[in-house]
Amino acid sequence: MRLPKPVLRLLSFLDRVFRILLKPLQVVSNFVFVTISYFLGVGLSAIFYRRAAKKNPQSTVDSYWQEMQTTPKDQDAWLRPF
Amino acid sequence: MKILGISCHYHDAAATLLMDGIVVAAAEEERFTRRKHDPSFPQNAVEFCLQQSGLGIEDIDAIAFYEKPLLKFERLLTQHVQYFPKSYAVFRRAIPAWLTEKLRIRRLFRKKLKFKGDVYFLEHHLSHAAGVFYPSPFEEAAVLTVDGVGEWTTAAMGMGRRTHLDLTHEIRFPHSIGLLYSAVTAYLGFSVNNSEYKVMGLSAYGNKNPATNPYYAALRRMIDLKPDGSFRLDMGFFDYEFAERMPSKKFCELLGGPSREPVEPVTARHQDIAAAVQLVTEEAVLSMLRHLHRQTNCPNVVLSGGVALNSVCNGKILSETDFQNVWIQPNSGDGGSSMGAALYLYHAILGQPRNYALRSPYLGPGFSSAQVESFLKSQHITYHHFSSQSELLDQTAQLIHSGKVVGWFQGRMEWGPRALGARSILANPCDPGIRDVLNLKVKHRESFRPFAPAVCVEDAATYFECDNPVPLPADFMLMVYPVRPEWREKLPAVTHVDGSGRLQTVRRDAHPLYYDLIRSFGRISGVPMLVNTSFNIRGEPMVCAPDQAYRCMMGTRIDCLVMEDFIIHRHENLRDAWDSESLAKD
Ligand SMILES: [Fe+2]
Repeated sequence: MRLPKPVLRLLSFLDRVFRILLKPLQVVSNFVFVTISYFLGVGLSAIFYRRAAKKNPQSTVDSYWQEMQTTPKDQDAWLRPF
Repeated sequence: MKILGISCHYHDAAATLLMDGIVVAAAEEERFTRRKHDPSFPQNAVEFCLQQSGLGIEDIDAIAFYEKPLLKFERLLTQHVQYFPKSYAVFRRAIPAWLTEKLRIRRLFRKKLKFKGDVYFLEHHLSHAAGVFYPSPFEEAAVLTVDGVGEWTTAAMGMGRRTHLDLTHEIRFPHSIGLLYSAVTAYLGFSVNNSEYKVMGLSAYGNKNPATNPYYAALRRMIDLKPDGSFRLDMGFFDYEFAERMPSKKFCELLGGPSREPVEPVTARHQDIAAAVQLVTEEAVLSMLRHLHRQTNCPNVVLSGGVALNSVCNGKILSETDFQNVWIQPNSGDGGSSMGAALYLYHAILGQPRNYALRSPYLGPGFSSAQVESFLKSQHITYHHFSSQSELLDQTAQLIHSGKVVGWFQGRMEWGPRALGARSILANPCDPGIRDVLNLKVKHRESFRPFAPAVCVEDAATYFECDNPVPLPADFMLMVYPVRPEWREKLPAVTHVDGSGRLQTVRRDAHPLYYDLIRSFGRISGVPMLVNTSFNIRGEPMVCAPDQAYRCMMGTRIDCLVMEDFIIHRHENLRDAWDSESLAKD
C-alpha cells in the first residue's frame, strides 16, 4: 500500500527535524563513548605496555632491515582485512 | 576476468579496472569531486571505470583493496597506547571514522557499489610493489617501495619474477623517510601529503654540499642511517606518532627556530633546509638501492611509494647504483596502489600469466569532438573548428610561438599527478618572460617552482645530460636531469636554478597528436620542445572535463584552449565572473 503524498511529505519533514535534533545528541554521545574507551581501553593497555617495554630494551644492530613475509600460507588470508 | 582495484581512506583515493590482465581504465577520485587528494570512497572513479568499459557492477568478478585496514588500525591503537594520554585529541578525532567506515570496507562495497562478490585485502606495500612490478617491461626486477607509512611498513624490498612477487625485508613505523620529508615540508610551512614536491623544487636553490650545509648535519643527527640504507629516526625530534603536528620542539630548536608560517617569505635558510632533506633522502634511497642490487644482483629495478615521485632522486638511480634499467609507474603514490592490488590478485593469487605493460598513462576519462562541440554550443561559446589535424597543430604551434599560453585538452586524462599532454598548459620554453606569466597569472603559485619541458624522446639527449637510452619513467616526468650547459640560456622557462630540468619524453605511439605538436613547434621555433605544466590552478586537481577546462581558461591568463578539434580564444568570449586567483590555495 502506498501512503498519500501529503503524509509522505509530513514523514519526510519529521525525519529531517529528528535528524537535526539528534545530531548534537549524537556528537555528545560519541564524545562520551570515545573518551571512556580511551581512558579505560587505551589507558589500561598503556600500563601493561610500559611494563613490557622496560623489559625489552632496544639493542644496537648493524642493520634495521627486518624480515617480512608477504605471501601467506593459506589462500583465505587474502580475504581477511588483517 | 574483471577485477576492480580500489584505494581510499588515506589520501588519493582511486579505482582501476583490470580486464583479463589489461588495465582498461584508472582514475583518481579527486578529478571528479574536485577536492585535491580526495581520500573518500572513490564512487565516481569506480563509476567511470565501469562506464568506460560498458560494464555494470554485477560483471565484476572480484574487488582488490589496497591495504589491510585492521592491521593499520592495530598500528594506530599501538601508537595511542604508547603515547597515552598525549594522544587523546587525535584519538577522539580519528576513531569515529574508523568505527563507522574504515574498518567496514566489505560493508562499504556492498552499500555503495551493491557489490556482492569476493573482496581481497592486500598489504599496502605489496600493492605498491605490485603496482610497479607487474606493469613494468621487466620479466624479473628488484623491487623497492618507500613511502610515509602503510600498515606498519614504511619501506620494503624484494624481488619480482614473472607472476611471483615477494617482499622480504622492511623498515617499520615510526621510522620513515617519507615522514621525515613530510616533517620538513611541514616545518617549511607547506602542506603535508601535498606539497612535498615544492620542497624538492626549493632544494635546488639551497646549498647542496653536505660538508657545508649546516642543516644537513642537523638532519643527520635525527636519523641513524646504516650503509645498507636501513635507518632509524630519533623520535624525540618528531611528534607525528601522537599529534597532528609533525616536527617536535626539539626538531625546531635543532634547526634554529620555529616552523615557517605559510605567509612568511621563503629565505636562504629555508632553501638550505630543503636542500638538506633532499640530500638525506637521496642518501637513504640510493643506499637502499645499492644494498638491493647487492642482494639480488638483478640489472632491473622498479621503485614505488610516494618517495618514488622524487624525480630529482630518480634521475640519479642509474648513474649512482649498479642497476642498468629502472621503471616507475606514473602514479606511484597511494592512488597507483589500486592498480597494484588488482594486478597482484590477477597474477599472484589467481596465477594468471602477465600480458600487459603500462606504456600509455592515458587511462582516464576522454571526450569526443561531438561531446566537446555539444558543450561549447550549449554554453554559447565562440570557437573555431578544425577538420584537419595538421591545421589545428600549425595554428596551435603558431599561438605558442607568439607567446600565448595554451590550454591543451586532448584524449583521455592522465593517470597520476603529472600532466603528460592530455590535460596540460603549454607554452614556449625559449620565452624568458613566460615563467612569471605562468607562475603569477595562470597558476598563482610560488615563483621558485620550476616548469617541465616536454621533448620528443629522440631529442632528449640533445638537450639533457640524461642516461642513454633515456629511461622509460621519463615518459611520466619522473626523472630530473641537467640541461646541457649550451642550452640553459636558450631554455630559460624550463631550466631550474641549478641547471636541471624535469623532462617529459614523448613517444609518438603513446600520444601522436602531442608528439606532432612538439614537432610542429620545432619547425617554427627551431627548438622542438614545449613547457608543459598541469592544467589547473594552485590547489585544484587537474581539469578532467571540458567545462572545467573552459572555466580554468576564463578565470586565468590562459590565452586559448585547444580542446579536441576546437580552438577557443579567451578574448573572444565573455569573461567569467570566476576569479581564479581568489581560489588559489595549497
Ligand atoms: Fe603508500
